[in-house]
Amino acid sequence: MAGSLMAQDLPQDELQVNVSGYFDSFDVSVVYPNISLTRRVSESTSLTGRYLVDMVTAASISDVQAGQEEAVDAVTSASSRGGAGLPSFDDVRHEVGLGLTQLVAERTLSLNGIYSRENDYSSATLAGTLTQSFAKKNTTLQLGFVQSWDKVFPVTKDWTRDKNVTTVSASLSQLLGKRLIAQVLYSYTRNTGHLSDAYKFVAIDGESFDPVHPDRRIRQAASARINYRLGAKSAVQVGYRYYWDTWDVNSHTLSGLYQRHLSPAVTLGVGLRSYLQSRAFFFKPAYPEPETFITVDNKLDAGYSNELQFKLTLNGGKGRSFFLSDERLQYILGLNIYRRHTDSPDWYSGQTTLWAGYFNAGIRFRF
Amino acid sequence: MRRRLFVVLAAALLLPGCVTVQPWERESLADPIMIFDENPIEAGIKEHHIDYREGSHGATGAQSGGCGCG
Repeated sequence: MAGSLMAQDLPQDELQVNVSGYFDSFDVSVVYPNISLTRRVSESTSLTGRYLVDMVTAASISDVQAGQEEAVDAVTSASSRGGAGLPSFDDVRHEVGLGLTQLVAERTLSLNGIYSRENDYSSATLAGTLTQSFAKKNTTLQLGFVQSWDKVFPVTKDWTRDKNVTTVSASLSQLLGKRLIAQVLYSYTRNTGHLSDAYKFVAIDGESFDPVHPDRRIRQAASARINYRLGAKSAVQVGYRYYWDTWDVNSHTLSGLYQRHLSPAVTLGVGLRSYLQSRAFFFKPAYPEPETFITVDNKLDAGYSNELQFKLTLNGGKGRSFFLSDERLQYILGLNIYRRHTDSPDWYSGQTTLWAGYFNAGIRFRF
Repeated sequence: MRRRLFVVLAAALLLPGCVTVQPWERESLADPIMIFDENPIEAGIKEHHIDYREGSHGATGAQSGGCGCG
């Protein structure tokens, strides 16, 4: 969506390196460095390559039936690289992506292919967007399509199952004045196949059962947001999203972001996000007996969350101190503090409140 | 009801769009702080975190996936 003001432009040539980290009160830690290179290869064509590594550490679970420690993470569903029997948990996901952006007449066509693989999961994705501006570039329409073909092959099971995700989306951006831009977005996603978590288990009357979710889920979301320039140095962004799906999960998300240029070199952003969600029709805090659909996934429980976001951008320029002396350089620092409350305790930790923090540190080199 | 809400929102955006902002009047709008998801990679990372913890997805302007977390 970036560049909605400049629909007929190619993305800027840049090398971007990020290191991101996630840590929460359920003992989950994720660190993922990623590198991305975008390069214009002709007047109308740009190519992008990206590589990402997801490194997860978390507590492993005990298999109550076998009475043995399994090298499987109960919280994130990631699994051990070394197989069962290891005392600690360590999973790595590799993701590579290749993208093409092509100017076609008055339109911009973007195609991306992504492949990711970890010890027990693989995903191949094809994504495309078509962007067209109207009314002297006051209005920009973007249509998107994403298809993912995923495979689930848990280390504790002897089967491989498919999960397919299809998303179509549309966004409309509109200039509403010299200081105001607005955008509406809509997305429709169809998930089919194995949609439950292979490593969680549901305890019913002393026995453990694999979760069973419906094998089809239609997810829709519509949102609107505005970005208003408050003055020469600052802007405020406000957005609202409504989400609904065929599992009866509905949610409201309200977000705001205030950004201010503290100096020509430094931009600070402070954001807030509030989220309220209802429960999936088959989620229950406890199941007295096995049912058609059973789950312990707390993403399907009713609850709410709040998030505080800080974002610092340092821009290089002539005459600035040594690490900012190159005007092609930009440094990005982000910190988010997140708190989620669910109506029922988490099946594994027993907690209803999750505290999490994540950071992102990045360098963009534009050439 | 949802469709009506979306139509009303779209109309609310489109109607004032009859006022054209000329290219030379867009200096303020071209500032990176005025661009939604100015850094798509950063937006995707944030979306990735959210997908781990909440049951909703989509209409954020960012793309995430491939991890089996959604």
